[in-house]
Amino acid sequence: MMDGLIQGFAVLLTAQNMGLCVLGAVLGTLVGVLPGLGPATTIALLLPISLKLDPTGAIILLAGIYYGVAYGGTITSVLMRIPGEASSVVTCLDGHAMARNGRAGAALGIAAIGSFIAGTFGILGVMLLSPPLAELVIAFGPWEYAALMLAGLSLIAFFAASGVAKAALMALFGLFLGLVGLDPINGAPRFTFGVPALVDGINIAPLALGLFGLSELLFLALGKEQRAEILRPPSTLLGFMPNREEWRRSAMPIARGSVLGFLIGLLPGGGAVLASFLSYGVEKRLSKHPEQFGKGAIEGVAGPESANNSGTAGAFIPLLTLGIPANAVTALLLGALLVHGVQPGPMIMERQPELYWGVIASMYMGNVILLILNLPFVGLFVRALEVPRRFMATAILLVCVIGTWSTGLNSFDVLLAVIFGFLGFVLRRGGFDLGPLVLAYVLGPTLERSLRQALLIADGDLTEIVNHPIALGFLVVAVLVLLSGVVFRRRPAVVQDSGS
Amino acid sequence: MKRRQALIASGSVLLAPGIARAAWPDREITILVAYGAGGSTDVSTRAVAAEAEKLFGVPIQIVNRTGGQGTSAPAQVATMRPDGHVMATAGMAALAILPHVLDLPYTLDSFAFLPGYARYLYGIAVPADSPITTAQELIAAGRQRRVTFAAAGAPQNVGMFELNARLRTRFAFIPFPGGAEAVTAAIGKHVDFVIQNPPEMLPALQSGRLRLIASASDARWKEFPNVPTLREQGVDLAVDSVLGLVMPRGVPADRAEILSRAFLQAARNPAVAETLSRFGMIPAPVPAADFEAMQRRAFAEFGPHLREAGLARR
Repeated sequence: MMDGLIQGFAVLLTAQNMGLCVLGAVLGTLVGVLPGLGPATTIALLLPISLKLDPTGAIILLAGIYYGVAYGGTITSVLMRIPGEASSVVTCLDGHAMARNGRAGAALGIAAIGSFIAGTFGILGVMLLSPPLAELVIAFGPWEYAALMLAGLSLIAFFAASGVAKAALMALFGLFLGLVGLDPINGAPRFTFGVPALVDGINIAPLALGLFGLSELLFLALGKEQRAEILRPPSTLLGFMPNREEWRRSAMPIARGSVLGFLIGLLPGGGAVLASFLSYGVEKRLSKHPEQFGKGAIEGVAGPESANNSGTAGAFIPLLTLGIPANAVTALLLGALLVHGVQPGPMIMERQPELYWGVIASMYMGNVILLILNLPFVGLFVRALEVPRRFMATAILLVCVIGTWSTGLNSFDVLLAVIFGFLGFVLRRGGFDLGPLVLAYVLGPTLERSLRQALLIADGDLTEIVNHPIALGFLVVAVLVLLSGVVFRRRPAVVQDSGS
Repeated sequence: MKRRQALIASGSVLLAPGIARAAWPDREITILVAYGAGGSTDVSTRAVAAEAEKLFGVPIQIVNRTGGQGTSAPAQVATMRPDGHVMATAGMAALAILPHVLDLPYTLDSFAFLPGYARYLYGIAVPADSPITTAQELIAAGRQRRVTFAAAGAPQNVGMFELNARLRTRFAFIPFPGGAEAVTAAIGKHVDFVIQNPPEMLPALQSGRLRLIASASDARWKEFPNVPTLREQGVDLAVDSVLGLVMPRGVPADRAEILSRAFLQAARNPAVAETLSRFGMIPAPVPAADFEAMQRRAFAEFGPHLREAGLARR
């Protein structure tokens, strides 16, 4: 193990590979900052270029972009309430609220540090636990996924700031939005109204940018010009950092987020979005001040931002040991490996040690680089808040439109984002939480597909689930979560994703 | 139905002088690839394009136009100006199967066909401890009980439907969004067997988690030369899917001819064959007319099977 790691650093510490590692981290941060432009698009663009590199160099570069994105996605979420990446949607809730309270620096700081800790933890997990965790991935079949998604959905009980009924309504709406597109089993188009752009479903970019970014714009436009809204950032570096109290409150969320994100990231289809939402739900449940969530609770930033980072590391386990990509980005990495004639699988450690350990070493180094890259800029980014809000509004509009357009090069998506912008405004005005909507939209398609696959396998026999203990376990969790969130709720813990 | 169709070039290229730098094409050519970057469809098309570029003397731009299960790219091309500067990748799924299933804006008559260039390989594998070891045992099991199989979609599922119709087997199709997910389900014994392409199956086969019981194509896998094809085991079926290019109908004949010859020549290049083999595909330089005939025949043949399986649209 240590020999391997030393060999890995020897591979990494060449001018070329170090350069690629830094380049990947920088590109990843940029891509994360720019909404719409996601890691999958970027890696697809760079794939032909990476063919000119040796396989180790290519994977170091592409992997750097992949995990770098999870750092950069936070920035616009906190400053402008525009999710830089889907996995940072949930950060909009408390991250932006913290910025309003003058704690933008602390939010960005804790996100960067939490990301670093979680990312490093994730790589340790990849290094130490790959073989046993690969078995866990395989144990997950349709029943298990369906039950896991249900457990995830039960979290809406915790998001229910505005009351269980409203949250359930939003979740149903989210599930409906997830139905749009081709039926996952028989391929029939549903709710597409003959629009080709809807055949593959509603893209997350117009949904998230519209609901969060554009609706914010409407609040800005309708609000009175308030110069007091211009926040004075502290002028020293330490002033940007989280204070002692914030550190104390963040420690456990970062730890829990790291473990949770790592486990979810392992599972194909799990992914960083689910990990960040799960972490948010867990932190809100465990918090002594659930009423602060949505109003700038640092736990709501520290946990999810850690979870989405360790999730990216977790996804490397099925990729490298089983040749199974857990998401669209690792599928591209798999393609990059195959192009270079490298066959991933359990033998990769023995057959391609310089590649395997080189990539592991580059991930340690990449996380350090990302931390160094991100922390000093926190101060710079926070200064963006000094921009008068009417100028900020223009920037939000620009970022949302370009972000939406760039994901699919499709003007229909932009229109969709505008519709979601109005919808988000109306819903927030009406006191509805957007969290349950997005959560249900993300989980719904996997829930539907898994459940229908499971029923197909069992020939329609729902009782077959008793033969799947893992699935039963998740169902029990789901029921407990619902009960604890709905029935035994002591205080009317109102959490609000307060608009403007 | 991700990445299916591939191609390649077999022997050496005898047409050395090839097509002289003609007056046409005079500007860049765009190929819309129906699947994402890094997949086998994308990589094989880029390999052919790189060779064709040299023959044309103009750049070929690759645009990944994904979506609609691989129908978005041909659908877009069908509506574009037929000047020969734009084309899309299309294979069995987009041309012969999905027109039965989805409400598509095109038919086979919307296109002018260019050559095919790559052929996908398919294989049938079971979990390592499954009692099934040969294709005949699989058929016997399928006659006795309901046997589930994982696949990412067409055309390999249609092959199994065909067996159900002919041999009275009960193979139940469990669709997965991609080949990797389908293979994972078989490794975890959530289904009885999987039918997919080599890139997704090889890691599990080589580590002994899955066992290949037959090549479902007409050729054996080069990694498993001892595993016979379905036909060799007495099961009269081969899942065949050739990837090629289509243009909007109405491209002037002289231009179509220039394009056809160049792409066919490019597809025969050994460098292309080399790339294809890494993605589990075999070269299939199929002249334009044969490629079209192949798709039309398959379209007619698959309709009844898809209706039988309840997958065809009403």
